[in-house]
Amino acid sequence: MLFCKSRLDFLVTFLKKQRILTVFMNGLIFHDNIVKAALIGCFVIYSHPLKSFELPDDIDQLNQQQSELLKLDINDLLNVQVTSVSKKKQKVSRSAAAVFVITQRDIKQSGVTSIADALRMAPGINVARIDDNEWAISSRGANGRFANKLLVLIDGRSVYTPFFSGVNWDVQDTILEDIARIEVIRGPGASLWGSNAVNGVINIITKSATETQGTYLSAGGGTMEKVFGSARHGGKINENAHYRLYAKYFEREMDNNWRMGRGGGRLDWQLSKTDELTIQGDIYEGETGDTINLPSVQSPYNQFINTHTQQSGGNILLRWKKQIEPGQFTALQIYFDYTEKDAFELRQEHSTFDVDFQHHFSLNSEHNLTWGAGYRFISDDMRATFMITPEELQKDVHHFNFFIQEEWRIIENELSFTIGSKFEHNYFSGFEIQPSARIVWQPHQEHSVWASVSRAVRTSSRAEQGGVINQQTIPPSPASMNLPVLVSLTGSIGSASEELLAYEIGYRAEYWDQLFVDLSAFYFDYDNLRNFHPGAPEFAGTHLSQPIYLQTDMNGESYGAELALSWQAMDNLRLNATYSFVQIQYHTENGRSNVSEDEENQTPHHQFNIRSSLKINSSWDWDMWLRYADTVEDFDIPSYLTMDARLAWKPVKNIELSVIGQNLLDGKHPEFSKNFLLSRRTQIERGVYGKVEWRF
Amino acid sequence: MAILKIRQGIKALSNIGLIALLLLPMQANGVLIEQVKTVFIVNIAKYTSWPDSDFSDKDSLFRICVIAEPAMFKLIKITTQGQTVNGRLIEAIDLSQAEPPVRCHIKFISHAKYQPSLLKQTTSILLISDFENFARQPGAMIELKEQDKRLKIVANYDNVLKAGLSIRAALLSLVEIVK
Repeated sequence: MLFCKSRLDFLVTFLKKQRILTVFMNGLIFHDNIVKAALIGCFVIYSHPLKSFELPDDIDQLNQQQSELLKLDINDLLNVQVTSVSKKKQKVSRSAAAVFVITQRDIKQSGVTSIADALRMAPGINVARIDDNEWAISSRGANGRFANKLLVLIDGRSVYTPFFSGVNWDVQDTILEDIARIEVIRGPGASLWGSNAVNGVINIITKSATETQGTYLSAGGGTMEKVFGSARHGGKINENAHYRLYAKYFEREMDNNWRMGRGGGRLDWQLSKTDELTIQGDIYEGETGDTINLPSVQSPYNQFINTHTQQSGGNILLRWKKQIEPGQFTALQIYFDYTEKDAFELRQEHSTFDVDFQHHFSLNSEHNLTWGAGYRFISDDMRATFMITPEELQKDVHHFNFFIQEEWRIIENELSFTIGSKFEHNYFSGFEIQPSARIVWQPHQEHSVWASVSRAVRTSSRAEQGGVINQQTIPPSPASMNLPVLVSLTGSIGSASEELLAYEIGYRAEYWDQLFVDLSAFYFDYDNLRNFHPGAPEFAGTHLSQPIYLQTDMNGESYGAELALSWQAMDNLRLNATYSFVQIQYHTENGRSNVSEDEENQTPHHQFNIRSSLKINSSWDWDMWLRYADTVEDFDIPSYLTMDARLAWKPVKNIELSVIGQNLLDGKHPEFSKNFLLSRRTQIERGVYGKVEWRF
Repeated sequence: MAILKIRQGIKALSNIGLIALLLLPMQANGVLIEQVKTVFIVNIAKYTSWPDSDFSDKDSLFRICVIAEPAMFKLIKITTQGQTVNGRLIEAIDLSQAEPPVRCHIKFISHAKYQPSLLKQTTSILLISDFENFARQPGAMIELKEQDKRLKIVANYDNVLKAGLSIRAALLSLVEIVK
């Protein structure tokens, strides 16, 4: 029970202390922004050797060693050989879930320029770039431009869009140097995070204002990354209140251009010994280019046009944490988020208001209880076009949720069991229960095994509730009585939620103080999956209309495994490797449409990553990243192997110059295709950029 | 009872070698750098002179104030337990928990908690830290630095003198002096 005790002890210290929002203790990472994660004792993790200090378990031995050391004279003491902290023995994580952490160091060394590309480092996640500004990203299969089973949060704010159930990756950004880490959880997280955390949850956690004091400037440019620059300044209002302000701008270009500017800030204020307040917000504005197929019922029927989408938005978030007594605290989070996307095919505006409350307390030394409740209001406003027509142009929806979770530490330090559920009422499918049960056994501090069973749902979205998408026109042929055929995807009102029952197991270990191993395997059983049904063609005067109806009558299963290794090979050389395997099978009943069964082949079966980071000396760094993705059969995308590399030089202490090469092994390769809205396939090209960073 | 049975079950499993299958590595028995750092703090205290006016009376305690993560503070507490400096018993104080004002003789700031503002002050307080390049910061005094798997001491002796303190030659001859 030391595990949870220390976690609670830490929490107490954490709440009492000023200016320290991230603390490493007993091999655990705990951060303000994922109170939820820490609460359950299941999602607390690390993936790499961290510079943390923990007391050895054997205090008697420690006492004895200290008194022996105290007997040495100062000359001898100067010659005692010590074990360096970074190589020190650490406990492996006790999280009963498949979790991988992308640290700030990983982000820096990888040379990525977007959050989406950073996720390529995680096992089990398939990141496929569709074009300049669009990605298909999913966890454990089920990938697509509108991949809808992955929930993404930035500092506790959901960026999952309710219009099509998915994430607009092109507007999710910040200064990447201000990200503390990205926690990638494969498998359902719905018992805590609620609907749509089906195949995974991604928590992007930025540094607190206390950790970003001083000024940071960076600028650069290159072939794909045309030009970029960012500036951040952190300061303090008084001893207890710190802030930062930032601005960032970039222009990128492959087939289309993409430019975006954003700015924002954060205030972390220790109101008292027990109260801590965070206020943060961002605004952004930009333009994304796209090449889309415009269908028409007259010749030339389908034509590719270049479009420019104006995008803007903003958010403000307030989080207040209060410690009531040791082991007991409450957290309240309120945010408002506004997004506007003015695209050729559809104009959308969304306003989201969300309030979330949690209370954690210990019943006794063995039982910890957490409960919480939340409310979300989303109001949208659309402007329809010939291409996309939502069922209603304006809609207000309300969601309510409640969760409770109990952690039972059966044997101190060895065995703990967590059970909990989310109870939710959402506009689309009504009442949903999403429970999970997790068990973790740590027979030795270097080894842990875990298993879980959980249920999660993916709720329907506005686009699926009766919306119509005119996707393409089939030119006239004798089979169509020499009339063009307009193919329209048509959503159905009241469509059920997609359901998942997930079974997972995992093993984590540390060998010889240097090698971390994280292995997990899963079996997912899906029900009510979305499936397209071609309807009867209708005569519409100038053309035939071919509706394709959306129904939730497909089921399926997937299984797979992921392996992550982290090896501190030498003091100055670290190697990371991940391997992911996934196999998906979708089924429909005989006589029913099997159109969507092909979606089982939209994710590569095999993927691997090998990263190395070499510190040549105190001023030079050399990082390499080799990655492979298997074929995407459904789109005839061949497998690819590519590499990124980064060389960085620090001529003086606070200035760093770096050159980054991306996709170096081939001139260009495709990674994915667009679904639904047809488009030309974009090749992902080799790119090189340079960057200057200055901190003072 | 149930718990007892599970515990027994696990013990039985471990006896039949199931756990051995997990290839448990041997516990390393090295000395952690933090262990040596805390011993250095005590030693540095013994080789440094504070003005008598810094102690209210003959029996008043020698105070090491600590700004560090809880584990480090605990280690300092363990190490200084029962130790004396010039006949005065050492008391380790976690500054984040203490009600000000606290009279400190040494202030130790761990690298994790280091902030330049912590150096503002101070007569007759010896500042020690393991923050990288600490000794070269304005107002800083003693840096505990890891080099070649050993710990060494770097001192900004001007700042030590400015604070009204002095370090005995026996120690001074072993430290690297910077300005």
